[in-house]
Amino acid sequence: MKIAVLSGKGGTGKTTVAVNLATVLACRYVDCDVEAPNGFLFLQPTVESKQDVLLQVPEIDHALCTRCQECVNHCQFNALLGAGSRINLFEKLCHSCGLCTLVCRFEAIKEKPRVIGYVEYGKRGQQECWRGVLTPGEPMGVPIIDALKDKLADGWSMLDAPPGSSCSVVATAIDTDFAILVTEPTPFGVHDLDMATRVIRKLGVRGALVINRSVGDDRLIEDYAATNGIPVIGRLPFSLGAAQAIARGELLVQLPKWRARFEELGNRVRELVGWTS
Amino acid sequence: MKVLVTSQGPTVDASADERFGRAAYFVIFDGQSAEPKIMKNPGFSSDHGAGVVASQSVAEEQVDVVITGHLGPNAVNSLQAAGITAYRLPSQSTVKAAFDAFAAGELELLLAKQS
Repeated sequence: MKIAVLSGKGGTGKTTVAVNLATVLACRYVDCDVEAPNGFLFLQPTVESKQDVLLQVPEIDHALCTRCQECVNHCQFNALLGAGSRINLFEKLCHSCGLCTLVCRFEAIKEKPRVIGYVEYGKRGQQECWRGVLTPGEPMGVPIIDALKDKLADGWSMLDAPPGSSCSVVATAIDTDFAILVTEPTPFGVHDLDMATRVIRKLGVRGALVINRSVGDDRLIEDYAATNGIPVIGRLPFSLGAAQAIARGELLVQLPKWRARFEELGNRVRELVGWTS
Repeated sequence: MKVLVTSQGPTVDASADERFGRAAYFVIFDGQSAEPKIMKNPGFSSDHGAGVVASQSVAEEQVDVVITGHLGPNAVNSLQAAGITAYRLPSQSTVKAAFDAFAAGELELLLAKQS
């Protein structure tokens, strides 16, 4: 069973909610924000294993290639250039679909693996912690997220999603059982929250809202929640003490008041997802 | 020699387009014919790899020189592979004025031909 933590807007507190909630619920934490995975800064697990994530890209045997352009014409991502004396591959544009290898009549294309990042596993006490890390400069996070999700055993997982509503967010939220939407009571927050809401709606994933950095007046979000029929299951106050603890790399659940807040939020999540264990 | 200017419109009087991969049109001047050839750039509406697909079509037209504002990394590598030279557009220029400036030897080299 998987719970995704999304936000739309960046910096609303996805990781803060995901690491603290995973800790009070004693479930697996999975950092799917592969371009900026920072959950391990708070959980500080002892890393036990690391595995490269590979993407298959074509390798052209120029001795067999007749430059017929069949591969170039079939590539949907413009990763192959047929100009000049030989076919050139732009490997960062390649989506690893394998079509060029299939259409080549001269068996001049073979696939070779290319490392685009890695997944890491560790433990914080008994808590399992996973994260995906995309190599800086690499454009595609989805294969890392897919590799990460493939490795998860049964039991509850808290998936910390990337911001936005792009392919990486879809890859994280797809096939999850529940989504926690973390937002802030600002126009920007509500605007991007709506994009995240539309993503989970399309994916058929149920969701609930957590309002972070609440200063008391959350009407912007409450109105949105009421209009769209999404329950608000938690409200985390704007707090200098919390910001300072986060800046020190600490879990908020180490502070008694915040532990109580996250336990309450955890109970609400358990009720909504039917988590009995 | 074929000389291509990236253009925002399908005429020689249109404003030149600072972009290469995402330029709307290509205007190709051929020393042998008075009328330039005007074509849409397939990179303009491409979801991926605009610089590559634009370069591919430029190479298919057997262009020798591209005049544009900026080249992205994929365009640089593609044009180099295709053995094409690029020169920088004058600022705020029409297509025709850019071509004339090139003919007069007034343009700055953007990308040297790789031999």
